[in-house]
Amino acid sequence: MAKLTLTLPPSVAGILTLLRLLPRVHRVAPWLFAVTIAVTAVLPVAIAVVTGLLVGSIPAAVGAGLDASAGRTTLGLLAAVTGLVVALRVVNPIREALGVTLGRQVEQYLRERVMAAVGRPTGIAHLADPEVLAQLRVVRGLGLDTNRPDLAIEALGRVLPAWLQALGSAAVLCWFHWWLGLLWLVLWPVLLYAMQREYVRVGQVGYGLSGVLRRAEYLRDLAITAPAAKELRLWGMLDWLLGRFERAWRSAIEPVWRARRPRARVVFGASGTVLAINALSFGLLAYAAVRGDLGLAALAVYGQALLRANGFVAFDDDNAYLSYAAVAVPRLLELDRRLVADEPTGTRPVPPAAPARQLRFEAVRFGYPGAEWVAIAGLDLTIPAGRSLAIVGRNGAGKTSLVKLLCQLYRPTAGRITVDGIDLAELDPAGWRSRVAVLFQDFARYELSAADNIGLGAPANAGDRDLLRAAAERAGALSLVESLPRGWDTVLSRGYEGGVDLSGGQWQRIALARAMFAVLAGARVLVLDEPTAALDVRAEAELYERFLELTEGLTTILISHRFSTVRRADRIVVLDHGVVTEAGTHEELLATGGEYAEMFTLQAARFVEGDTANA
Amino acid sequence: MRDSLRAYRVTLALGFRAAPIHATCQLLTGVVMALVPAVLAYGAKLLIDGAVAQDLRDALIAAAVLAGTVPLALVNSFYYVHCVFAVTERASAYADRRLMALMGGTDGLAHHERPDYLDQVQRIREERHRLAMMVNATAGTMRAAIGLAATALLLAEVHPGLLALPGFAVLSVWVGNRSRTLEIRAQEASSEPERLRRHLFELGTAAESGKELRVFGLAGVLLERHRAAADRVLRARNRASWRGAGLQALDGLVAGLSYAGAIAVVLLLAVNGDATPGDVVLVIGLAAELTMTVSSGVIYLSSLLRTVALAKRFLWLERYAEGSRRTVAAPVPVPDRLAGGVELREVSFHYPGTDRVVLDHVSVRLPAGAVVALVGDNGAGKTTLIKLLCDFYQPDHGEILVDGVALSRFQPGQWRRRLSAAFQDYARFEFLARETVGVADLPRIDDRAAVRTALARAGAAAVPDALPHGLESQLGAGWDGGVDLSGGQWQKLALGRGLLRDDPLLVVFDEPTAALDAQTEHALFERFAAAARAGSRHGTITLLVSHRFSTVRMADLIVVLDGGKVREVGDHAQLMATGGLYAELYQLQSRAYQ
Repeated sequence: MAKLTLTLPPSVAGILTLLRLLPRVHRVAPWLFAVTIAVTAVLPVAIAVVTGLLVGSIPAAVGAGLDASAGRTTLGLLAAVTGLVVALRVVNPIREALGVTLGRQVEQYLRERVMAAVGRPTGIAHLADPEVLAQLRVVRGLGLDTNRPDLAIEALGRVLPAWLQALGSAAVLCWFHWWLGLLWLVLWPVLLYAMQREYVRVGQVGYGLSGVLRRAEYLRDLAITAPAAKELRLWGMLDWLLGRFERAWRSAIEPVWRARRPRARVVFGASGTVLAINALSFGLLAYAAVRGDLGLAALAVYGQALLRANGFVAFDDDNAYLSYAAVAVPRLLELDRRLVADEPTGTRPVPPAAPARQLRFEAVRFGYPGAEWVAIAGLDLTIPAGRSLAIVGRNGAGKTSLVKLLCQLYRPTAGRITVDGIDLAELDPAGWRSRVAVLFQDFARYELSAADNIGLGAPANAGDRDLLRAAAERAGALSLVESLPRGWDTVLSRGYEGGVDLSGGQWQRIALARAMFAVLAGARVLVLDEPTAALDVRAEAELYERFLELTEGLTTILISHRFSTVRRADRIVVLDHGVVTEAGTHEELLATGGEYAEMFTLQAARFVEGDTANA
Repeated sequence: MRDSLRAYRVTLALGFRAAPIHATCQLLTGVVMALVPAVLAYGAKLLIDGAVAQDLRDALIAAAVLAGTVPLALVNSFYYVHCVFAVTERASAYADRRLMALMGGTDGLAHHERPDYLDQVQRIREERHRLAMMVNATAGTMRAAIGLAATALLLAEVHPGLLALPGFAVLSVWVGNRSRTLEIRAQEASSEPERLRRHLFELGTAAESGKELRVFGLAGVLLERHRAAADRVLRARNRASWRGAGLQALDGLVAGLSYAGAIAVVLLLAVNGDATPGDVVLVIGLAAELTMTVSSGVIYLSSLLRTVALAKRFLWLERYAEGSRRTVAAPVPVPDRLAGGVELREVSFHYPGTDRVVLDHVSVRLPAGAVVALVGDNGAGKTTLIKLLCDFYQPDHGEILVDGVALSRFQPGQWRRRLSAAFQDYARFEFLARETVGVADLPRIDDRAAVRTALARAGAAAVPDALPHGLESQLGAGWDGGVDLSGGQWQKLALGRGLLRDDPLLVVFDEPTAALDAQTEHALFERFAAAARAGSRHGTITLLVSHRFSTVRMADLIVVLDGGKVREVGDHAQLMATGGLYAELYQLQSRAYQ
């Protein structure tokens, strides 16, 4: 099959790819779909033949009347036509419904495959890859609205019977003149292919430009959604955005227009050929009929067949959907294949108590893929197990990169990270990650219930209400959850029935509870990246008062600008350009008088001075 | 009804304005398209009659009509489809621009925040592509109507009784409409699981959530949930499709029988010599096309009606935008500099569509040239107060006076020209770094020196240096060659934006330093305070919102908000001496530094 597709034109290969997905979404329906397509292709041809015979039987019946045997033939043919027409009319909607439902299922199948593929790589480098992002966009159904596999399946249910009917009707013409029928049978696919190819070309141009079109969509969404609404008004940006939108849209769409402009060669070439073959066929038919070489029945049959042989349409939205899908679907599956071929990961099981002694960064270097600058330039750092370490440093000092490396979201470019002496790269990532709980600065806000939002910290334990309560309690989020209109079952988004929106500070507590839930479920390393950024004074104070309780027995890594929390850590390191410049306890670092001391005293001075002033 | 007509006119005009030539061409080729089946059926009749009459000339003319119509129809449909795409794309962009102007151009923010408006706005956003479909729906409906009329005319010529055939089409219209309604209801009923499904897909494929997904091992869970949500959507929608199919199959039965009935009638006529065999062929041809015509007509008509329904929301949006535009009878110019300051007098406010009073008779004076800090717990009303000062909302009661002149007497927009701000929920504009800052003063968006100065003021001079192409780097990893910034870097750029304008009367910093390190914050506020006190030429008021009391205490005036009311006002020393809420919060935080 693979060999065959290589030699097929892209549209056919793409459509075959789409067809091969069908058996995977349903066992029976695709075959029913095929049967209904066959039935709705054959019935019209049969109807054409039988109605032709019916017309042919009229002169005899006129002479003899309906009671005679000639008349009974006419009535029998009428009954046959009735049966065939009713069958066709009843099967049509069934085929249509099969196409619609299968189309939905195929689209769903493709989405799941993409989602699974994107979630598959251990790291996250692919999530910043523009090619991957462009392919994701196709699945989201954005962009050219024609890029929809579901509509392509629906279209298949209409286009295939039309094609087959035309072919069948051409075959009927073989009885008139074998060479004429053959001519139709040969010319027809050539014409169809030529016309289809036009659409595939346009589909490819459109696909290639989806990145530019995305720019226009981004600009549009800035203006019509809430996140930038305030600044949009404050800076008076609307006209500027409109201008940019117009330019971005034009540069995306104009190449598509150029590609799609009807090409006279194709349009008139195709219609000229159609004219010639029809003139020949109808001319022969008229001539033969008038000369009496052809009976009325035969004329009527061939006339119907000829009209149906023309009944292929290559220029309509159904064909466009098919062509676009023929381009898009293989690429989506390619995304799936590409994300399979991820670098191999470690398989070594994580020792039960790890980390029991320490986490070590040994001469670790790291730069983001495709970026020229180095985020971490030779980091040596030992994190003793069961203790807390605070990392401070300016923005861009490499703090968050360090966390990403520790979570195996990226691999060091050089050097290694060890867990109790074992290279992290050798460990099974899933096993290791079950030991790590992280509160990211840009934590996720799930539009799910409060229970889910916390329970997703350790999905295996998500149903354990006692554990959920305990986690919420430890994170100081219990009263918040209990005050929600539907308690634990309240969806944390206003877009759902009974749902509510939370404030930034409230979300942060929920996210902290999620990390605490992971801890209660067995994580031994807790990473807190700016846990107090959105909290008000009381909440922040509450958090640092609980810091020791929160981190008890855990290997904790705290990233914060707030000294109130930082100083409670057992050990503090100052990071600069990805290397440790100072390390020690709060007191030691103050005594050293280095950068940390400077930063702390700067902050403290403002309070201390104030107190002396008031004293 | 008048509303529907207006809605129809407005959306049809979208297409005609966006693509006048193509839209006209679509309607014209649509007329040709509609007549083709009738012409072919009539041609087939002529051919048969010519053959029966043994008239070669007539038969060849009929053959020429048939042979000529087919390629003509082909060329015609090629251009028709070309026009469909051309009109839809252009109208879609045109509608987008209109929506941008309406949603992004109103003075207020209620459409983004009012619960009862959100749904309307969301619906418009989700279905906006439909706004571009009116020309297509009109052309399709028109095609069906013309096709039906031509068919009826030819049938009536054979025998008036055959007009019953199009009569049966009424049933098809009803069935078609009914199954459409079923589909739409199913779609609406499953919109919540569909929203969830999209959200989960987004989470499962977005870069930001990718980290957490992996650390907590959620890929599988989200996939399952995604499937569960999708199954709910599919079940509801597929059920509707099957129920519709059942109805249509029943209708097919009736239509098939009536089709056979029509043939029987014309057969009888032919047997009695009242019709020719050609007439039988004509009726067969017309009756076969009739179903197609009617069913496509139903589809287009219901698309038209749905577009009208959306267009009504669109009209609502237009009216809302119109209504939120304030006109000031005798506008007063915004002063060049502040002499006295800004005063809130008995200002009360609640968000439209909600009951809770967010600001309750707030009276406070912000003196010109002063650094004012606004403190209070989350939910105390700080952000709302700022929204009123930015003129995003107007107070329910009381007024805001700028040098004694009510804010509402300025020409809308003019006051905002003299504001500057850095918000906690700043926007992440994924433009070039220079533009991301430069949008705050559009005439100077290309002025690299101005942008650099603003960044230096924000303590962010080093941010562009860390980027691959400096100020000309594309931000946002989703773009070709784009880079991702850390939260702190984004915030610094937002702060730079807030410091680009040269002559603001009021600068608002709504927790702009939450993600910044202590050093940056310290340096920053030292400078802000110094600049403010050095007496800006314009008497600029600097308004700070912060949870960091180390920052707050240096303000000339501190306003403590609590539950929408002003609890305390004074400078640091005064408030500490009072021993109220401020002193309590201050001590709570300063303990960390002792």
